[in-house]
Amino acid sequence: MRRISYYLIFIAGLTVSCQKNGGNPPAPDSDNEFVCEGVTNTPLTIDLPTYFPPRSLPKGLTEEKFELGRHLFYEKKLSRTNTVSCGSCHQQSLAFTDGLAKGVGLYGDTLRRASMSLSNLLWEDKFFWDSRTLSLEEQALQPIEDHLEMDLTLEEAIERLEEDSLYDELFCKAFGVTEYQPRHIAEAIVNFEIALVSSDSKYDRYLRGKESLSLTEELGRQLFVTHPLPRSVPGANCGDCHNPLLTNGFLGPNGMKNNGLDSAENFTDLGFEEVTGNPVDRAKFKTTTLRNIELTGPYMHDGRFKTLEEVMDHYNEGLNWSPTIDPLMFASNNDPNSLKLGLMPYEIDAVIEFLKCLTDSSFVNDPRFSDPFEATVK
Amino acid sequence: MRILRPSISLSVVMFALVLTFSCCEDSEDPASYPNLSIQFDHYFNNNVFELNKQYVTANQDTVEILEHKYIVSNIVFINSTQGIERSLKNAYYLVKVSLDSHRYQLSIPGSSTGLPPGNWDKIRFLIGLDSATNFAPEAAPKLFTDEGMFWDWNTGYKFYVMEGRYFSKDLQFPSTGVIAHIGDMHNLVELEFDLSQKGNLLLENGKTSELVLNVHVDQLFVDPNLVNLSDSSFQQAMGGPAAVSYRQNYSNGYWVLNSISNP
Repeated sequence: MRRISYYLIFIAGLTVSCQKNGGNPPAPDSDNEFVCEGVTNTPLTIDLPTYFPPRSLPKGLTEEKFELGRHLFYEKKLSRTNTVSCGSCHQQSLAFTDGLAKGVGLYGDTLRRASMSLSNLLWEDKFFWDSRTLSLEEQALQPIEDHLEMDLTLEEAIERLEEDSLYDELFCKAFGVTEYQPRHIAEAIVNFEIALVSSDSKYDRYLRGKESLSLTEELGRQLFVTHPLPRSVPGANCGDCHNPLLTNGFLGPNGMKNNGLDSAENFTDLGFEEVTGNPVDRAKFKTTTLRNIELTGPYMHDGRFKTLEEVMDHYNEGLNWSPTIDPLMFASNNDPNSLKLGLMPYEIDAVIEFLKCLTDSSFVNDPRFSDPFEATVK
Repeated sequence: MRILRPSISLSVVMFALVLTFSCCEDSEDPASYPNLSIQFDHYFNNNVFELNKQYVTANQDTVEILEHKYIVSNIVFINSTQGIERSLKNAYYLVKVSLDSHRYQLSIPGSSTGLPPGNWDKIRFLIGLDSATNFAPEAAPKLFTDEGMFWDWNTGYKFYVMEGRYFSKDLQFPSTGVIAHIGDMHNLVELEFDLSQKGNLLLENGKTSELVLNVHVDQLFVDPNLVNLSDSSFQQAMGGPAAVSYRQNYSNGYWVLNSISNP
C-alpha cells in the first residue's frame, strides 16, 4: 500500500512538473483564450570567432527566447507613452546607437550620457558608461524602470505585455508560461543581445586571412597596436586600452579609464566614482568597443566629439591632466620633448582608415536583428 | 514478482556500475593526481604591496603603481639527483595583483596539467612565453587577451606589465605615466628555484602542496640598474634599452622562495 502511495505521489508530481505552461494549467473560459502548448527549445546558434577571447555561451539560449527578446527590444509598449523602445536609442543601422551626442529621454529630456553601441556583449562583464551593472540581465531591465528613459515599473510592463495577444505564443514558446515574470523579460532580451556578434568587418576578414588591408589601413593598424617609442617606433597606442582583437577595453584592475577629456576643475561627470565612491575612480569611464566606430558617433560618454578626426585630435594633442588620468595617456609620446602623442597628419588619417575597417555591414543589415514591427502595423 | 525482484535489483546494480565506470572515462579522478598551489605574495620595500598607493624607489622617486601582472609558463619540476625533469602541459598563467590583495594564488590542478607526483628539489619556469606560443599564427586563439597581454603579431605578447604614475615637482604636471610593457624574446626570463633549501617539494596524488614566493616589486627599480624616473626613457619602456634594464632588474631577486608546505 505504501508503495502504491509513492507511485501515486510520483505520478502526481510528474504530472505537475510536466505541465508545459510552467504551473499555469490551461483552463480556457472561452474558445479564444490562448492555451500554451509548452516550451519549444530550439538551440540558438551563435558562431563565436576562434580568435576572440574564449567564452562559453550561457546555458539555455534558444531561438524562441531570442525571438521574444527581439520583440521586447523593439517593443514601444515598454515605455509609459508607448513611444520608445530599446531600439529607439539603439538603432541597428547605427550599430545600435542613436546618432546623438546624448540620449533623449521619454519626455524629451537630454540624458546624461550617450547611448552605447551594442555588440559582442558576451565578451563584456560590466555595462553602461559607469559600469554600474555587472550582468546583462540588470542592464536589460534598468532602462525600462528609469523614469527618464522608459518610466514603467516591471509590473506595469508585464501587465501591458499580458494584454497583447502577440506575446501569448512568444512567451509560451520561449518559457512555457502565460504569466510573465521580470526574469523572463530580462532573459529574453539577453538572448537577443548576446546574439549581436559583430565579426564580419574587413578587419575580421583580414584576421581570418580572407582579405588584405590597403597600405594606408595597414599603417593605421600598426599604429593602432603600437605603443610609441620616441625617435624610434611611431605608434598611436590605441591598443593598450582597446584590445587589438576585440577592440574593446577592460584592461586594468577594473577596466575603467580616465582618458584626459577634462582637467579636474572641469569635471562635470564623476563616472565610475559614482559607483564605487572612491575618488581614485573619478572621471573614469568604460573603454568602449571600437567596432563599427564609423557608425557610432558622436563619441565619448558625453558625445563631445562629432567626428573621428576630433577624437584623434584629442588623443594627439588635446589631453587634459588630472589626478586620475590614465598613465597610458601621458606615457605615450612620439616626440621625446612633448607630453603629446604627436602623430603626423598622415598617421592620423591612417588610423582613421583602419578604424573604418571595423565597420561590419552584414551586422548592421542582418535581418535577424531588425525591428520585427517595422513590416507590420501595430 | 519474487523472481523479478532480484532481476530488477541486479539491473539497478549493473546500471549503477556501468554509470560509475562510464563516468570515469570522461572525468579524471582527482585522487589520481597531485595538486599544487603557488602563492605569489607581493611586497614593496618589505611592506605589503598595494595598487594605487605611493611608494619611494631606491632612487627616491615617488611612484604609484596601478597595474602589475606577468605571465608564468613552461613550469618544469626537477629532481637533480635522479636527473629527471617533468614539464606541465597547457600551463600558461597570468599572475596579477588585484585591488583587493597583494597575494595571487596560482592553483595548478594535476588532472589537466599532468602535474607529476614525486620529490622535486628544483622548479623552473618562464616569465613570458616560449617562441612558438609567442608567435602563434594570427587566427590562433590568443592567451590573456582580456588582460591586454597580447601585443601584436610582430612582437607577440607582453610578458610583464607595470603601469603607474611618477610624481615629481620637476614635471610639467604633478605626475606623469610610468609604463613598463616588457616583451620580445630577448626579454624572456627563466627562473629556477632551489627547493632543497626549504625542504624538497613533494607532490602526492590526491593531495595539495604549496609553494610560497615573495615578489619584491621595488626590485624593478634597482639592481643591477638604478632607475631614475626623471629619465623619460624609463617612463615608457616598451622595448629598447629601458625595457632591458627593467627586465634585468626583475631577473634579479624579484621572485624569492619563501616556503614550501608538503602534504
